[in-house]
Formats: sequence, C-alpha cells, structure tokens
Amino acid sequence: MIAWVILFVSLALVLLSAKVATNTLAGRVISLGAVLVGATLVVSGSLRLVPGDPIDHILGDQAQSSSRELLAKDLGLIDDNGKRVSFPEQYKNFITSLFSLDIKSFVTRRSTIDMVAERLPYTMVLALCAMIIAVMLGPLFGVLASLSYRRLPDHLFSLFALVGISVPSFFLGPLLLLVFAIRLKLLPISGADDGFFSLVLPSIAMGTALAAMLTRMSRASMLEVLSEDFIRTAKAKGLAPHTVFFKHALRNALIPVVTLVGLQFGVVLAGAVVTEKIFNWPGLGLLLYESIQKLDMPLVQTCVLVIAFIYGLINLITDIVYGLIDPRISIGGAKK
Amino acid sequence: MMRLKSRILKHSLLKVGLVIFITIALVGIFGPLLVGSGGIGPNLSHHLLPPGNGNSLGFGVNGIDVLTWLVYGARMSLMISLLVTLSSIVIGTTVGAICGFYGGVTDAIAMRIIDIVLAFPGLLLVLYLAAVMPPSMFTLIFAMSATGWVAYARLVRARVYEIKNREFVVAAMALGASSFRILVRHILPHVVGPVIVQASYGLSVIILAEASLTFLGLGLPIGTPSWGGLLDQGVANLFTAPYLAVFPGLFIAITVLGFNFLGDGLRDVLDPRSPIN
Amino acid sequence: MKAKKLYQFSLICFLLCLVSCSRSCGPSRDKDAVITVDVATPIEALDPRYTTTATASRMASLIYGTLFELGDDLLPKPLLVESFEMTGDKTFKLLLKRNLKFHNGTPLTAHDVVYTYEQLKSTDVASPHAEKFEYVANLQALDDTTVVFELKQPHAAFFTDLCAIGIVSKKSCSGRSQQCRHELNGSGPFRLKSWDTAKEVIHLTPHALWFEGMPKTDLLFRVVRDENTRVMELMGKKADLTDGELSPTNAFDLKKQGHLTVKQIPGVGYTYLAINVRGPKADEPKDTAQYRTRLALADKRVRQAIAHAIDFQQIIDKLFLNTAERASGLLPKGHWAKDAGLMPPPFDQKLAEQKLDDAGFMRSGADSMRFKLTIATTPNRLRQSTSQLFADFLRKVGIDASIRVKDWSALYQDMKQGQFELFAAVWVPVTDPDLYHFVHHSSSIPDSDKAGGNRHGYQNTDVDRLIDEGRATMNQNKRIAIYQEIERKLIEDLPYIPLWHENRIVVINSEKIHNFEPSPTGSLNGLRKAYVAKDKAKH
Repeated sequence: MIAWVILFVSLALVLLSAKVATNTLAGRVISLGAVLVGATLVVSGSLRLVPGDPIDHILGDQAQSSSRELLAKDLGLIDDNGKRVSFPEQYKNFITSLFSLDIKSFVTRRSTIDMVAERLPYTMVLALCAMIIAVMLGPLFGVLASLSYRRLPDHLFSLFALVGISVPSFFLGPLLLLVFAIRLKLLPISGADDGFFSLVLPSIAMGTALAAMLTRMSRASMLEVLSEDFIRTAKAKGLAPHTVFFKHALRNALIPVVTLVGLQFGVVLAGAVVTEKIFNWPGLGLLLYESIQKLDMPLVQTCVLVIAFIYGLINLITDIVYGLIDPRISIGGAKK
Repeated sequence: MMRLKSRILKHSLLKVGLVIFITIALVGIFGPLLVGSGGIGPNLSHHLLPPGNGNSLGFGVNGIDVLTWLVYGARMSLMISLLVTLSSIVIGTTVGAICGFYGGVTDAIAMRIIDIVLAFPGLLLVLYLAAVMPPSMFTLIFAMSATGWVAYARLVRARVYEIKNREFVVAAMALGASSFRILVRHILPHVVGPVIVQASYGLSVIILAEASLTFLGLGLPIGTPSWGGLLDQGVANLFTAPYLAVFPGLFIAITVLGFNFLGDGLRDVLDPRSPIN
Repeated sequence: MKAKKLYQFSLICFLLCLVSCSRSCGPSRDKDAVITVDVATPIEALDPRYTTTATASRMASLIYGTLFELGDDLLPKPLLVESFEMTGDKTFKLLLKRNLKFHNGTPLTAHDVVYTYEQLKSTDVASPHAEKFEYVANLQALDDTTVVFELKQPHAAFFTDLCAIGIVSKKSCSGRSQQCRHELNGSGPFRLKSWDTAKEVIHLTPHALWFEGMPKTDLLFRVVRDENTRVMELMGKKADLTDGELSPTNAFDLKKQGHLTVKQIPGVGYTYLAINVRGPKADEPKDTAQYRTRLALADKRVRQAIAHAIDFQQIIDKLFLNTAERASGLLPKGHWAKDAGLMPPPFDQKLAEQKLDDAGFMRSGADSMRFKLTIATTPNRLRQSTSQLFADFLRKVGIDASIRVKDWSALYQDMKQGQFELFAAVWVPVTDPDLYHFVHHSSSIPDSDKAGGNRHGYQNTDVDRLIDEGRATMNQNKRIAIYQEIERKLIEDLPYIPLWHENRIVVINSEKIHNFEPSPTGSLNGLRKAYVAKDKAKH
C-alpha cells in the first residue's frame, strides 16, 4: 500500500504547490520540482498504453519462457509470483528507480541514466552552439536589415528570415550536407569525430529556424523603436547618433528578443531529435528517436524527463538572469 | 515617414498572407475534384519517374503522382490544422476564460496542469504521445490538441483577467448581469482578436509539426497523401530523385510563410497592443 | 557602450568555445589501415549468446571463434575443430585444434566448449538461444582437446547449429556472465579495442594469436541509422564498406563514384508473405468481417488466388532493380537441397478471381469487395512500399486490403496470439533446410509458454512427418529428396507465399580495400583476409 501513498503524495505535491508564491527563488524551485513530478506521472502513466511487449525486443523471437520471465521480473512489470503489477505499484517502482538513478534500459540492460549521461553533453554542446549562432546572427541580421531599410541588405536578410522559418529542418539538413559536405567537401559528413568542424552544419541546421525568427523580430522591433517619439526627442536633444542607437534604441528593441530566446531554447532542444538523426550526431535526441523505434520504454521515459528537467532548469536560470538585466521586471511577474 | 511606411508594409503582409491562405484553401477544396484520386495509389510502372512527360510533376515511390499528392496533401494539411486549432481553441478558451474570470483554486490547478504540459519543450510531448498510440489522423489530432490548447488558455486567461476589471464590466456586474452573460457578451469579444492571431501562427506550426512527425515515422498512416509524406519520400530519395523533395518543400514553405504573414498582419489590425510575443 | 561590450565579450566566448571544442570533442581517428564499415541498426550485444540481430551476430563471429563455420556453399566446415568422428548416429567426438588462444592469452580448451554450450540455459547465462540446443542430451570434455556431444536423437543440422554460437572462456565467465558479456574475451580473429557506446563506434583490432595468422587491418564499425548519411559517407570516403545496408536504388547510384565498386551476389535470405491459416476461433461471432477473412484465409484456394493476384516479378524489377530472385520456397536457387525446376504460382489476375469465386467468396457487384484483409508490416521503407503494392494488387481482384505498420515487437505479440492476417518478413540466413522444423512444423506453433516460428498456425501431418525424417536422416541424398517433396507440398498449400531471395549488395571502396570477398550469408568473415592498399592508407 506504500505505492498508493506515494502516488497520492505526488499528486498532492503537484496540486498543492500551485498555491506557492512564485516571486521568490525558493518558490520557483519548488514549482519546478512539482511540475517535474507531474511530468513523471504523465510519462509513467502512458506506459500502460504501449502496444507490444518490450521483452520480445531484447530476447528476440527464439527465447525460452524462463528467460522471459526472469527479465520481466527484473524490469518490475511482474512481481515474484509472475503476476502483473498494478499502476500505483509500477509508479512506485518507477519513482524509486528514478531517484536511485537505477533504471535499466530494456534493450541493452545498461543503466538508462548512464546512457543519457553519455549522450547529454553532445546534445548540450549542439544546442548551445545552435543558440549562439542564432543569438549572434539573428538580431545582428535583423538590426542591420532595419538600418538599411528597403535596400538590398534588408531584402537579403529578410529573405534569409523567410526561408529559415518555413523550411523544415529535415529538408534543410540534407541540403546543407549535399552542398557543403559532398559537393564542396568543406565540412565533415556526419558524427562528432572532427571536433569543431563537425559541429558547424548541425548547429546551422538547428539554429536557422530560431535565427530567422530573431531576425524578423529584431528587425520589426528595431523599426518600431526607431520611429518612436523618444528617439526623435533624443536626436532633437542633440545626442550623437551612435549613443542614440546603442543606449536607447537597441536596448529597448532587444528586450522582447531576449524574452523569446529564453522561450525558444526549448524549441531548439526539441528540434534536436530530427537534426541528430540526419547528422548522426550522438546526442540525446538520437537516443530518444531510437528508443521510441524499439519501444525501449524506460529509456524513452528517461530521455523525455531529462529533457524536461533541463528545459525547466534553463527557464529558471533565464528568468533569474532576465530579472537581473531589467530591474523593472521581477521574477514572478514576467509573462512566461 | 517611417511609421507610415512600416504600416503599409505590414498591411501588404496581411494581403499576401490572405492570398496564400485562400489559394491553398482553394487548392485543397477544389483541387481533388479537378485532379481525381487516381494518382494517390501505386502505379508501379511509373516508379520514380522524373517530371517532364506531358503535364506531370513526376512520380514518387511506387509510382504515386506528385501533383495528386500535393493537391490532396493540401486538403489533409488544412483539415488537420483546422481541426487541431479548433479543438485547441475550444478547450483553451474555456479553460482560460474560467481561470481568468473566477481565479482561485480552479485557476491554480489549471495553471499547474498547463505548467506540466509546458514542461515538455516543443514537440516532445506530442512525440511521446504519438509514439505511444497507433499512427492515424486521430492520433495526430489528439496529440497536437492535447498540447496545443495551452497557448490559447494562457492568452485568454491573461486577457480575461485584464478586462475583468475594466469599467464596463464592473458596471455590468453592478447592474446585476450574471457572470456567464458578462463573460460571453462583454469579455469574450475582446478575446477574439488575439485568439485569431494566435490561430494563424498555430496553423503554420502544425503544418511543420506534421511534416516532422512523418519524417520520424510517427505521422499519418502510410499511403495517405500528405505534404510531409511526400517530403519524407523526397528526402529519402534525395540523390536519385531530387525533384521529389522540391515540390512539397516549396508548398510547405509557402504555406507556412503565408500563415506567418497572416498572423503578423492580423496582429497589427486586431491586436496592436500586444507585446511581440 | 554596454551592448557593444557585451557583443565583443560573447564573440570571444564563442571563439574560445570553438577552439576548446576542437580539441576535446571527439578522439582523433587513426586513419591508417582501418576499414570503416557502416551498419544500419544498433548493436545490442557482441557476445554471441546474447545477439538477436543478424548484424550483431556477424560481428560476434569476428570476435568469438566458432567450432564450425559456413562455407559459401552453405555447408559447415571445421574452424576451431581439427577433426571429428561419429559413433552411431547420435554421438559426435570433436577434436579441437591445438594452440587456440583467447584474446587474453589463455588457451581455449574442451572445457570452454562444454561450459559454453552446457550453460546456455542456466539461470546465470539465460541465453535467448538456449532452445536451439535442446536436442543435446549430454556433453563432456574427455581431455583438453576432445569434446563428446551426445544427442537425444539424430540431428542432421547439428554442425550448422554449431556455427552460430562462438566459444566463451570458462575462466572469464563462470559465475559472472553478466560482466563477461561486456568484456568480450573471445578467440576469434579480431578482438575488441574499444566500444564507444555514445557514438556507437566499435573498434576491433587483429588478434595476434589467431591460428590462421593475424588479420591485416583494424576494423571500425559505425552505426549510422539514416540511409542518406550512409550514402554520403561512402561518397565522402568516410566509410569504406557496407554489406546489405543500402536500398538497391541508392547502391546502384553509387556506381557513379570512381572509388566505389558495387558487388552483388545471390543471398540466402527468404522473403515471404505469411498467412494466418488457423481459421476463425471457435467462439468468434460469425457475422463479423474478421470471421469472414479468417475463413477465407483457411482455404488454400484463396491463398493460391492471393499468390496469383500479385505481380511479384514487376516488384522485383521496379523496386529491387532486379536484385532479387523470385522464390518458390524457403531454399534459394543454388542450395544443395533445392529443386531448381519448382515454379511459384504465376501472375494471373483472371485465375485469381476465378479461384476466389470457386472458394465461395463472390463479388456482389462489379466493383464490390469480397472480404477485408490487413497486411502488417514493419516500418522499414522497402517493406512498407512492397506491402502497399500487395494491397493495391489485391484490391484489383476484389480483396479489400489495407496495411498496418507496427514495430517488430508489437507485431510479434500479435503473431504469437494468432492476431494477424498477413505479414511480410525475412528469414535469414537460410542455411540448413532443417529450418523448416522451426517454421512449418506443428510443434513450432508458439504460445504464451513456448517460442516457435510457426506463427501462421500451419498443421499438416504429412509435412510434419517429412520434416521429422529430414532432420533425423544423415544421408545427404535422402535429405534432398525429402526436402524437395516438402517444398512441392508447400507450394500447393501456400501457408507462406514465397516472395523472393534478395541479393546481397555490397558497396566497397575498392581503391582502398583489397581481397574482401562477400559471403551469401552476409557473414563478414571475409574481413579476415582483407587488407588496405599501401599507398591509399590515408583518405
């Protein structure tokens, strides 16, 4: 009956924490924790909907029944008498194995945490580089476009922005590979073996969508700000143009952009699955894709939860940083 | 000068977006009638024939007709995006309105649930649900609605909360109007604008999502004409049949752009006060 | 000012990132004398007792020596065995070669052989392949180089079965199977140098004490799931070899590349369409579509009609670019037991419609459908395309066919419970015709307790009897006659509709790699003899 208690406590934690004030750091951390517990409930419960028997994957189709039973016991799907366990029991097993970092992958029998830990750095590096490219180039293009309004550079950057938001990454990826890796032989084709160079194409493929969005947004934002009254006032006051630009226009224009960046890291992260598959980048996204194909449920669950956890953490950090940058906005009041 | 210029530009964005939307809708509605369903199924003798003979845009794997798939795909994409958007709006608006208006415990719990859904970035939860259910149009719609309603809920909640305290609402309440009536007659009309703007952006997101899910093998059942399915075939045969990827890629890109423009334009017309969101 | 500084600062950070990344992101590869092989599916295990995929088994044979190995004629030849004797028809005395050594230098003895095979079904080992050797009654080591196997009854395919499981070291594994399966201490021509589980790269290096003489190159196996990426790696010389991991279209396209050679040899896989012949269950309601379908499939005229309705040859021409051979049974054309004159049912739509009418499943109108049918398939692209084509052909003769895509394990669950109608799959490799026992014998019908390959529920006492005779007879000629008789019966009954035997298509960087001979079974043992051309050692 411990299982029912654990289930009840988790649900309570999730629901009651809704009342916790979120404008303190502690409050936010508790919130994050509760949300993640909710996520584990969602993830664990969905297991019951899975068709097929994962045991057949590991043992293939010529296995003895005693081998299969041994495995099922190992995995917590049946108890010592060979009977299937109920959901609360299964959830309890799941949560305890999660906290003790001891979940075994169905297919390879290794700890899923180990497998995820192996791959996580690759995804983080890739996502980070994609973000850096997007954050460096996006607003840059957008601002440059706004400054050369209606002239050639503006058209070029705008074209880039349009292409970037409308072309799916699994189309863009192979095209980039075809051009740069095969025809021009400039960059490596796949994998993570060649250090920095192998990062270039996947980061571009992953970061383009975000870069395009940032270009559009910064351009629009900058255009709007430049035409605002207070800019004209500043100019009328006799301030030098570049002061006007940097101190007033740019900072104001970039505020909404910064908000977007925090939000979109998640999108970049989620896009990892497709990008990693195309470039054979040994990251978490590829692991997730693979484990879905094989119905390796513990691994799928671990991947999904780890990604959610990292996303939550990054959001928390972003909010804190954001609060530091712009003192007018307190941590709790910001629109997410 | 600049302000006027930028207004005109945005206005023309709206026009372009509208034109694209209407064109695609027409293609999706009437195209299948003109083209006929013959090209959907396999025709082995035309397996991977390139375009050029007569009026054809080429053939795909097993000899499916690219033009037919593009046209039926338009219908499929529109249908899915509209259905998902519709159900997301219904669920999201209801939840958002109740939360924004009544607040309290209901609001707190609903926000918690929204937070849990949002804990999974991007398509992650959709991916997970789609992986757990058999591939079909229902699965796609279910999975995307289950995550899509959240955007509308938050939007509506924020707006309702804001409007609730305005004078005319307070006045209506003082006059004794029922909450429900106030909600529907006075508050919701103000919410329509942002919801429509969000819907336009949402449509473009859904089209890209469907294509990505099909690429990962989690989308519509095989043999169902769709842009994502055609693009998937195109990418798989990139070296031997490059034309196969170009057409659906183009269509997807233009449609997504169109909806984006529509969203931008509508935002300026209907919701000029919104922070760029 | 602040913003500018921020920009400069982040730019510097970025550059630092790049520089540090180029040093730490990934090891430097040794590009000399290494053959890089791309495979499509991840490797779940390299210990042959635990492999479940063909790719992993092939790699396992490079690491673990086996007592016998299959020749290109599909007959077993001694490998670790020096000689053998039979006393009676159930007892085998095997003499091992001397000076066999494991990778860690310890000698391979008869005790290791006994440990390997005896312990397969123990709880410590729990190998999925344990049931394969159920017919072994007793096994003992007479001395360091002599092993005696006593079988429960004569079993003609015994040596062929021994080709599948390599020998593990008793010292390394006894009592610690779960650890030693990752240590990979085998006796095969290659030993494990490193296995990067994150990047899925397996590096094998020659075993100095391999009795035939050390192989000449290192091997690097990379798991690359995306077919386009495999193609590009071959184009870009990042990969040197793929065996059977590309679709025929892509493989042939690579012929245009100067450094690549595309070789094709007849394969020994059997691609088939399984039909659930069980018929409706006793308690099933009689007015459902499913009942009607099950009833139809239980009638051999309907099955024959299905075979007549589909133009398999056109599929082979268009989808496979003629890289497959039309099949008429389990055994491929060149097999020693095959009757080369046996013809599969011809493509004849009129005949198909007539047989369906004869069986009582008439059309009620010109375009109406006779009964519904679901074809199950795995997500593999080529498999999906072919299933779609089957469905299309069947619809033309009035069978309302549709396809359903399911991952293998979900499919298998359905199959075991008889919950399928049609599915297409492959048996590979087809080596000894004793495979018929696993596939069509009534004792191989799986249920919740028992595994078995007869998922379609075929029960024919004549065929059963023939299969039993075939496995117990040691006389080659008698066996040939028996198996040809079995194939004749099966082509009439059609519990499987034979599809084709796919050729093995090997794409190899022939400028760099010499002396690699592919094998019809897909075995990579040819890598033992391959070497890298001296002046092409660097890409």
